[in-house]
Amino acid sequence: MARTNVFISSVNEDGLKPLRRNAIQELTTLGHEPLMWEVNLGPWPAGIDPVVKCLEAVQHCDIYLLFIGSKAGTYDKIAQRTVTHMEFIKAYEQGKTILVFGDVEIKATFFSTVKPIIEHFVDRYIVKEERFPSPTHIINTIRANRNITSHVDPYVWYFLYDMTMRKVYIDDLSLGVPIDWRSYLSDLLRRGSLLLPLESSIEQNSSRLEQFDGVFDMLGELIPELRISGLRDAEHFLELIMNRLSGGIIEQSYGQYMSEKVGYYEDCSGATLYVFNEEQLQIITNVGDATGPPFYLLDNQSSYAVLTYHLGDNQEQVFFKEAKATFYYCIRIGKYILTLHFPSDPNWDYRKFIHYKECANHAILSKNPLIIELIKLFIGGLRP
Amino acid sequence: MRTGAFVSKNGVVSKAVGVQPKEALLFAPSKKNSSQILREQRIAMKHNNKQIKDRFAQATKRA
Repeated sequence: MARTNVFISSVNEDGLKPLRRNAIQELTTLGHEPLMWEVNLGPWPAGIDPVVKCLEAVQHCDIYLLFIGSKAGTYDKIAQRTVTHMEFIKAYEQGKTILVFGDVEIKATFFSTVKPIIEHFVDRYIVKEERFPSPTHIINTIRANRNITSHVDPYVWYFLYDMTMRKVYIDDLSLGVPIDWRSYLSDLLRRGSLLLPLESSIEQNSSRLEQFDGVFDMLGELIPELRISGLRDAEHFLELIMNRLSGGIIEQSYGQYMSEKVGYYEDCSGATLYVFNEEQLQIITNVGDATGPPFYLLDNQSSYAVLTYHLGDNQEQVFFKEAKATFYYCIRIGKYILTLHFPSDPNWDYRKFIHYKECANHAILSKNPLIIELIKLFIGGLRP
Repeated sequence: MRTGAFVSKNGVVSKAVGVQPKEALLFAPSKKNSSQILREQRIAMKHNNKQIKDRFAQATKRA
């Protein structure tokens, strides 16, 4: 029967040695297979990169166990991370079960003193630079701060900060007090026991999702083969589209794990459909609060419909008008221009749009691209 | 591709610089369109699906 493979990661510092020894013994006694660099993982022959081998071992483990003390360990200048941190990131990216134990005093200092200092620095940096600071920036700030104790390597604080950003829970570690491994493993067994019986339901859902995806692929191939003679009820057609498109949150992301809400947009409140005919854009219909004129001349650069037409086939653009407090998501599909109107957060003005333009674009374009693709396919099949 | 924010005022399109009137129509070319975003979402979905299946296969495998 397969046994649980536990990768034990930590810096080889004196304070943690008894704890690591105890963990190896206890886990072995309980019937698991602990792996630790100094005990049963390496050294490897010359020419083999030990970091690569450690990361491979993390990749193949079932549980990743990490002890954090006051030392940071070996730092890799290119990765701007310590080897232990890279192991942690590998476990996180691979979706492993992660158990982290941090020295209780270091943890308390981190949450009470260091974390607020880092957050303050990060906030100010983002306002000034409009991006997230690098690890080196954060570590240098910690090092320069006299309110932060110097007996802990500055990198350790950054590592703890990265864990909290990833929402990984850090358990208390009291040096000299053994960890109750039976309780921890019993809790893991409980969690696994709740989920494993759902295997067939989850697999069934997963297969259905693949079927839906396959159907979507097929629609993408079949619809372009059709010549759709027209819309039976253009207004109803647009209403169906409008009613499907919901609002959303506009977020600014800073790196992979941090984002802040900078605004929102409401459900689609109006839509228009124009077609290019006789050197102008002629309205087919409009619904909701959209009130487009009967036609636009192609040199009218005040019109978002015309501007979108000139972008070319299959192009799209989000526009914003403060006076109307509205975002206009416009799509050109062949000779047609579809405009979708989303009321904006009332706090949005031209400054916010210019500042958060990419966030607004992304929020609206990525809300439900599947529906947009389907709409494009149908309108693309229409014979003008 | 054009980058930055643009404005349409009185029928003229230009780079959006300085104070803009409320009636101005603003826009900024996006790095990705909805088709590209959809492709990425579908790739992520397939990856997640595979990971779930692999995990269940590992979890239920008897050595």
